[in-house]
Amino acid sequence: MKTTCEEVRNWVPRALMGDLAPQEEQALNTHLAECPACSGEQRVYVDTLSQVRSVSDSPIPRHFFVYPDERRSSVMEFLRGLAPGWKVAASLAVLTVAVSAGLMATRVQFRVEQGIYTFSFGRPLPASVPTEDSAAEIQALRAELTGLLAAQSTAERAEWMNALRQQIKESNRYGARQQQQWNAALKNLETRLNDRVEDSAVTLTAGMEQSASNVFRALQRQRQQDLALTRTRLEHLATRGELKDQETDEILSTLLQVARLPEK
Amino acid sequence: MENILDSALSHTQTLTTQNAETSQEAAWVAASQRGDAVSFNRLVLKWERPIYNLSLRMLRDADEAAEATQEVFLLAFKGIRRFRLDAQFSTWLYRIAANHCTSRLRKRPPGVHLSLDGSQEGTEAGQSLAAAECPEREFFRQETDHKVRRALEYLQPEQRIIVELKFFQEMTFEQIALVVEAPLSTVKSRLYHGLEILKIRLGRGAARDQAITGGR
Repeated sequence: MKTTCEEVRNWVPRALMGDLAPQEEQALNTHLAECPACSGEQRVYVDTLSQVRSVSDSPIPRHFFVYPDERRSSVMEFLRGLAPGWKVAASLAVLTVAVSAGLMATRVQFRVEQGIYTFSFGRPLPASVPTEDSAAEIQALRAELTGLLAAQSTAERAEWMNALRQQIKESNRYGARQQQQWNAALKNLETRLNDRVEDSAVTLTAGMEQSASNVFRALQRQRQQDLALTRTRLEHLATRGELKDQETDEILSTLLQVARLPEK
Repeated sequence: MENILDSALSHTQTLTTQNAETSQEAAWVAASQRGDAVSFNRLVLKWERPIYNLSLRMLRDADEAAEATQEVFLLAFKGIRRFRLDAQFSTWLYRIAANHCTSRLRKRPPGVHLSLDGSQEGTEAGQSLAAAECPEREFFRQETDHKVRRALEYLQPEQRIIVELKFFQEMTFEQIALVVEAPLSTVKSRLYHGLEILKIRLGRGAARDQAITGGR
């Protein structure tokens, strides 16, 4: 495999550090034997390393001894050196101490009474009410309030009942008045209806009588006309019958004549 | 044959000495954990020079490096009870030093670069003697030191500490990864990026030579 100059130039420092695989080193040496430019690059690196390695150590200006009292580390250094669990514990302890000191410095007072939290910074807490007395007082107040409420409730109920009764009475009176008015109106309506019925009956009777006479007269006239027409028709029929009879007689005489003829 | 035997004997003696030193160090650490300041100061005596030089190359200021070194040992002294004996003391100490110096560098306002002048460089007796014996060599050595220290300024603190641990403390990649608490790949990547920058800053002379010789 042909190696490029770029590859070789990457290999040169690695070869000088002993960090090249044997195959790569062989390929490098082959290439360097043929390529003056890469060979020159190698010489530059060799010269550089030679210069770096030629630097000598400087003498120390003094000794750097340490003394036992220098071992005393600060609190932070001590905490830094602790295991995580101890660090947390130490932090909590410091926090507790700090909070307690802060509370003491502010002279804070604290009280929980019947679920009420009371804090005071520097001043005394207000006197608390004795629990038994306050309970009895509350009971008495509750009884008084209940009595007042009951009395008020009874009075209100009576008042409400009176008002209701009054309203019912008024409502009844109004109903009676209404009923009377309705009765009067009904009687009036009945009278008027009777009158009107009677009038109608009279009118109807008169009308009926009139129409009956009219019908009668019309029927009579029609009867007379029909009789006249019938008479005319009868007369006509009679006339026609006579004619027919004559014709018949003639036909019969003819026939007889025919019959009487000798059959010669 | 005799040479091989001598070499093997020498290697065994070295290993024995190293083991003895390690067990001695472990004893000092254990005593320090029990609150023995004398044992801890024995550890200080052993490690103060590399730690001071690490601080000096990282911070580029002799006074600040001394101050940082003192703080590193103080931190180690206070935290020695948390050190686990199954780890290497040097790795733990270098980690404290690396973190401390990197932290100091990060706290510096941007654009502030301290530099050492000649008066703050080493004046060890041996060096003075060497300078007296061969002034030219000593001059070039100081010149190179100065150049390298200045080139190191161009590295990010994370790259600089890895270059420091790799080239000046001669640690392996695995040890460096333990010290800086970073993956191996990150350590290598930072080192090669740092080397690239150092090559640009220090390799000009070699590049110029290469241009003159035509890459021969």
